[in-house]
Amino acid sequence: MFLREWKFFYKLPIFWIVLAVSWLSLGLGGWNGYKRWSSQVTQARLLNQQFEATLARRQESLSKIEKAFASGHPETIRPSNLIWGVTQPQFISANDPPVSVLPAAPLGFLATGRSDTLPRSYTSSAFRGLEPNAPTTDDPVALLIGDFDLKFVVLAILPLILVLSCFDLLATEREDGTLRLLLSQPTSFRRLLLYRASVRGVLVGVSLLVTIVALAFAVYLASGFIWTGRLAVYTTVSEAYLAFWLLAAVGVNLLGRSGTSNSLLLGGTWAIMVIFLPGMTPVLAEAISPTPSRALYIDLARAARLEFYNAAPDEQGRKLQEQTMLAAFFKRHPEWAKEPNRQSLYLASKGEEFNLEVEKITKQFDAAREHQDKISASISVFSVTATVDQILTAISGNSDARQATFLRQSLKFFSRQKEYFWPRIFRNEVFRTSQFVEIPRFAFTEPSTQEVFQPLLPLGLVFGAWCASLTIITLWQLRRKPIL
Amino acid sequence: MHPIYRVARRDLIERWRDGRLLWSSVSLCVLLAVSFGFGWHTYELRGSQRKAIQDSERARWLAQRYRSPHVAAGQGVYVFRPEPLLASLEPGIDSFAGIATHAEEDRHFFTWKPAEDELVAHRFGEVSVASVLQFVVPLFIIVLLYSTFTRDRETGILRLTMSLGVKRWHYVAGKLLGGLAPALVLVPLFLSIAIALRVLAGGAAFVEVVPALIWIAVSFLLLFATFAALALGVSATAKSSRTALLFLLLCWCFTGFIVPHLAVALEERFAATPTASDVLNVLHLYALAERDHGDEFDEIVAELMQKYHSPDLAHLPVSPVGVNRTRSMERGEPVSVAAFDSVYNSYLRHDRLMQWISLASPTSAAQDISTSLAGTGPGEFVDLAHAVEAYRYSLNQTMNRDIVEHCPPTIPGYRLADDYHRGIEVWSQVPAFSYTPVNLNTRILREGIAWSISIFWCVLAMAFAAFRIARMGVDA
Repeated sequence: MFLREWKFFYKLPIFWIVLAVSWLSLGLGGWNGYKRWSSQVTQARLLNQQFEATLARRQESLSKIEKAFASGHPETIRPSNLIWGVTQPQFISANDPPVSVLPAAPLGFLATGRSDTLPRSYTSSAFRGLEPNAPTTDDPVALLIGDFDLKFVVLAILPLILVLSCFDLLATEREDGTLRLLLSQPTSFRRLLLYRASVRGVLVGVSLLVTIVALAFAVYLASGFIWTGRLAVYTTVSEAYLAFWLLAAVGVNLLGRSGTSNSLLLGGTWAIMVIFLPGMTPVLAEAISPTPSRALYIDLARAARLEFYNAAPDEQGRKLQEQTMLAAFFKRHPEWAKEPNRQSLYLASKGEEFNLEVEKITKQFDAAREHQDKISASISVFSVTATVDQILTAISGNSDARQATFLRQSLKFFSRQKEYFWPRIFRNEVFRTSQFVEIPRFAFTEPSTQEVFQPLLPLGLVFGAWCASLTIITLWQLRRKPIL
Repeated sequence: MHPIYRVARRDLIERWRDGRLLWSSVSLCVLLAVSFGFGWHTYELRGSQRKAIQDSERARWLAQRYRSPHVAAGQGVYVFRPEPLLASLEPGIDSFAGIATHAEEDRHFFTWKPAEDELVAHRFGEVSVASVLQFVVPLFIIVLLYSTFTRDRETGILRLTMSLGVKRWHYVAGKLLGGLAPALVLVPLFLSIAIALRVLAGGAAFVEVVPALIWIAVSFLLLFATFAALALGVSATAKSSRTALLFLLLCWCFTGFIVPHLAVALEERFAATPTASDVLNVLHLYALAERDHGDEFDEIVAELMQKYHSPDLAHLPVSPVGVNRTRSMERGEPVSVAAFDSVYNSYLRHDRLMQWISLASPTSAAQDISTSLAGTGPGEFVDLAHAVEAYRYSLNQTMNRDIVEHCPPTIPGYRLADDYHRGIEVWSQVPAFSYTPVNLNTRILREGIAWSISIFWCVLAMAFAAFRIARMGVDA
């Protein structure tokens, strides 16, 4: 029966339309995802290489200075290089600030997510704080339109293809009166309906499966690594989402309306689920919990920077400022209280004070933002597409959560940098060529499976509830007498 | 009653009874009301905050204590992107371009894109009056008009009407009248939006944007006419309502969603924007080269002494340190301009590419036009970036000029921060940043390709509709 329906289906023009549109969109989505992922891999490598190249240049100049001293010809060195140059750890830290680079997410080729809007690298130095505003130059129009990635195809295009190919499973036969003739054959209405739907579903579902496997294979060949477990979950959720739309189409067909009404109903559902509700989610979230003001954050951070970095106008004020800051600094770092290099200590204390102030402001901002995120997640349960969007983005690794992990790890990394540079700066040590390898380098640790999946549990339950309720409604309709 | 009105009346009653007209109108009103409210709220919030902080930045600049002008240049000023009034209707790239940049000694990109703080759901598309008019109204046009002729053919009403002696052109005119009459809903909607904007923004601000608003309305009317003509033409051609609807929905989806995404994929493939790290690396390498080359201080001193016939450094009427700083900035400027313009020019190239790609999508053409007219397009962003850069350059050169003219010539560069201090008399020489966007004509001409394509689409769709309706058969 399935084979018979299959043969019947591929003789229809709609088969070729479905095949062409799905393969084209999947191919393009997959290709774009792969290109973005590989460009992110390249960018991360280049940024690290740039940092290493700069260090190598410094190392070379330092080596020349060391050789000049060793050969007894220090006059060949420019005096300015000795006043402020590569021999000083502070110069190295300030002029070649360490960089933390976010590597491409291992499954980033499946969804662009937040990777095109959020910074992918941060820099800081031993005396400066990290301000999470690294510039990005992506074309704003491209960002406005959004990436044609695999997630977009799964969430918007494939359901549309299913809706357009399934709105008329038996409506024409019913309107033409040939349905009764069909049912005089040894088959039932339900079986006919389900086989026709499954033929279309299998075509789209298998196309998606083949695309994901091919993409994963390409990425495996390029990187030598792939997260099969997470990939399997991504594939399952995507296929379940397509099954949801197939089930919706079956349910609408069971209402016994004309093909035109079916297409309007299914098209309307698609527009509401895929466009209107996700579009309205931010509006509602904004109304319930307004986005914290970024401009205000900039203002506060700026005021803090000027307060800590600008010296007081008179000598007495400057002394008082220095004493207060150093006292606070020694309270936090009693181990440095006996160091005589007050100027460097004062500079470090300024940077740290500023960091602490920014941390306070950021905390308030992030708390408000987190609250809005929660509200949005709660509202998005009204659209199955918005719910699945969040799940797929999180699994792909290009979500806010991974970005937050990156920021946390970057902050830790810059603390390690301080631990490395501070003693050398405070003790006025001379930097040696051999020490370049000791400078800490950033290595990102991917969030664990538990960290990724635990926050997704409520969303998974919502999606499950959507699927279960639609299945129950369709099964209940299937049990009713068919409208012929 | 004239047959034209009779046909039109029946058509309208039919649409009203099957609920399409009612639901479409109600949904459109709700969507426009919500999107206008949201757009205005966002505009007002962003605009007022940026304005307040811009003012406080100015106060900070002027309140700098007695210090060296080069230290003051290092403090610089944060310049915020002004929010144009029409961003409340058409936010365009507003969320995807940084809101502020630091105008100081070094040049910076605009940072803090509002999109960084927005939710993932925002990427599905921002709800705005413009997006509702660009995407939702064409959808409603399709839903209302797809069955204009097909249903009469399917049910045999067309044959019956013809048999009653109704002239063919009377029937077609009646159908067009009945089909297009719901478009009148748009008139009070447009007017309501304009009135709401007038009341909220105030008379003066509103009068300034009226011409742009009218041109935006014209571009949307071209889009609606294109979709209406397409729907009527397809309805006259298709064998069944179902086929007509299917084809039109595919067209809507293709032109509204697929083509723009394909365009982005193409531009990324063939004209990728340089990354920020590429640009910063170019500047970093230049700074290293400058350092290795060493400054031209000694040469400058010799040159100045010769020029002013000065026997020694102390008698020079200008500060060689200041001259060195001025020249160093002049030298570095072309490198910095070239590096940053490689990014900005790529935005402009992409904008032109998007305009050409609207050959496959009238929706894209309308979007290009409306963003440009609203002042939220890429061209307008690049204009602003250039204006900020000119401001930053003049701020720095004002500080350098003061050093040249007033700093004692014997003070060496490394003592400048400690030994040469100035106050408000210098800071006040730098005016507050103000920006006047390019005039309306320039904005219209900038989107010339999109305008031409929009008109071309409209004419083509009308010709198609006229041709198909003229040859329309009586039977399904």
